[in-house]
Amino acid sequence: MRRKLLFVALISLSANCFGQSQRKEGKNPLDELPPYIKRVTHFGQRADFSHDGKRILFIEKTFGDVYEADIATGTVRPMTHHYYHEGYVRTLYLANGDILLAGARKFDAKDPVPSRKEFAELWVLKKDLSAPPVALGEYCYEGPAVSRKNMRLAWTTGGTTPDAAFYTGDIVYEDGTPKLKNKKKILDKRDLKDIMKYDIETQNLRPPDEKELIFSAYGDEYKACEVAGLNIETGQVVNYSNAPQQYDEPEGIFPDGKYTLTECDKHNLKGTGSIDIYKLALDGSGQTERLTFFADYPGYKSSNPVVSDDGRYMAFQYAQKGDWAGVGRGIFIFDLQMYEEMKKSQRK
Amino acid sequence: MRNIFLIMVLSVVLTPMCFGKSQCNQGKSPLDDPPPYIRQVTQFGQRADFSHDGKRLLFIEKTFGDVYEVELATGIIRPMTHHYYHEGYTRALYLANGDILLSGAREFDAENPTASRREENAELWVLKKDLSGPPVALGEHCSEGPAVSRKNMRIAWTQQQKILMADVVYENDVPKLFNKKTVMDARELPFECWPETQNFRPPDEKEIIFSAYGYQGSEVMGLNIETGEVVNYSNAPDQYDEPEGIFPDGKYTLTECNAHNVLGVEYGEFSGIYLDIYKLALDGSGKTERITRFNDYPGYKATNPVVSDDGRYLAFQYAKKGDKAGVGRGLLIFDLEMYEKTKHSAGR
Repeated sequence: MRRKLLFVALISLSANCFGQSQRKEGKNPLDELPPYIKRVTHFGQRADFSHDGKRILFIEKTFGDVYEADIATGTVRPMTHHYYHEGYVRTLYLANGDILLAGARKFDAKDPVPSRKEFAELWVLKKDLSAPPVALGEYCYEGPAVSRKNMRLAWTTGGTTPDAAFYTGDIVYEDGTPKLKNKKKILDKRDLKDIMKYDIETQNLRPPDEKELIFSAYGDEYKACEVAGLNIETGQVVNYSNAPQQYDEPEGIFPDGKYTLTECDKHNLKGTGSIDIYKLALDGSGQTERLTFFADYPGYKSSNPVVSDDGRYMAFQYAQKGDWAGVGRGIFIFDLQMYEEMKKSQRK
Repeated sequence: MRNIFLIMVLSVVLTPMCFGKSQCNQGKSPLDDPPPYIRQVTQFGQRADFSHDGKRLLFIEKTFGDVYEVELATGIIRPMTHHYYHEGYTRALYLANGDILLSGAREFDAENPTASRREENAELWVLKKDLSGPPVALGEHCSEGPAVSRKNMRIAWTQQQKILMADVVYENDVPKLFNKKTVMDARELPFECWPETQNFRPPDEKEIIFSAYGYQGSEVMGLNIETGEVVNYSNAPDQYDEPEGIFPDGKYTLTECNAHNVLGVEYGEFSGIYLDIYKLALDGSGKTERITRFNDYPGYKATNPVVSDDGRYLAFQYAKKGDKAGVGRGLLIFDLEMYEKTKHSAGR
């Protein structure tokens, strides 16, 4: 009888002790998507919502072409096939609908990394695709931050170097040609204190007033990352995630500015290979909520989320363990309203 | 007064009759109101190739771009060459075993793109269908498109005005070329031309259909692989005829042709402004039938057709005036059975 009890206890414990990952071994999150997640494309990464929320701009791959997906129809159209180029690493809608690109003038398949880390420049591509993009004359380390309300942008130079910095500038059009004006250094990495700073990267101008720049503060070898905010006027820096053992990288921000989406490994502390998407309160509480569970399936992760301007939808991508940061294997839409409703009915 | 009235009436009646289709369709797009037997599958891409089961199309996104596959039933587009770094491809064709034959250069320079398409730089590669690694170079340069057997692992390609042929074999799972031989040297022909391999003529594949550029514009020719005999099948001196996909019974080939507008041939700097898709009998009669009418819409053309292995469907692309040869702006499927039925009922 005692043996039987022990057996039952063991079975019960096994079921409880082994995590979600054990139960999902050999499974694929794409086969078990919740009703509030819809797949839009089978390739692509670094989605950005159009201002009307109807389309998603994305790059097909790191160092690839830019495409736009119509969410309602799934139709995918190229945005950068009308001229020759060497590929892009970022693409974002500007407030006027034109497109900000980051990409290098040269790409070498045998040595690709410098085209992302050292030589990526900022360009503006007109929305009518009437011509190749125009270079803004600025190098940009990883992702720029773009205002959804005006033509302001912020970007990083240096990144991992000691003299890395953040800049802001306004895009103006002179005789129809885009140029940067009012360029201003808003942060020198050497001035950062009390926060990890192996690498820094601009992420978003925080709505609604856009007086703060949300940025990533990476730790050594990207094992950890904090979500930080820089008050553009005062220079004050706030650590919003404040979880130094954890990877928290800010991504898309909610239109009311109260939360940012993050890539986070709080569920397993296994680093960037096992991240999922979280919602982090930007009130200093460090309060988080996990939104996706792709990393419960061994070998999978979800990343690079952004929020539509009406706050209703999130676009993100999935990737696999070992994929370089930012690599995506398809784009998904997450209906935040349906998710909240399902959460409420589950509670009841 | 009577005369003036008569002239006015005649003008109204004759105007639509005198001006051709092009005038009627001025400002319109052939994609706005395609016939029921034509369906658009993608909004980008060029140089389609049917999978052997007819369920998918392999294509390149652009000249010097990535290779994709679209599933015809669902419209899902999947990347085939995103799992490694490369400098872009100019051709992608299914081999008989489902692996993929690629043509592309080791380097690409956006400031001098044409060099990567030229024979000196474009090389042949085999990409395994499971996408488990990068493609393997076959050690051969290739001028424009290779011809691939749909039944065995034989391929043919053009190099320095010669047509070469070989078998792809796998040694320790690594693809290699075997039995390589020169089957034609255009410099030994009694007329001057620049050949480009197109297809092994089914069903016995004893003949290679090739384009003879520069001879009477461009002609559709056949090379008997065993005897070396060359036949001019189009034999239309003042017309552009370029062979493309071939029907599985080998009785007809599709062509890019301008028979409807021979005045549009621009020898030397041929930009293919006036092309549409024709069906050419390979019996020496030179009999043709125009299949598409995209060129009736000023500024549009239909090109690069291929036929499914069951002969039921044709895949092709559309392009616009000024686009380089081979450039496509989306893939379309043409239901040949429905077309024949429509033709018959229209004939009644």
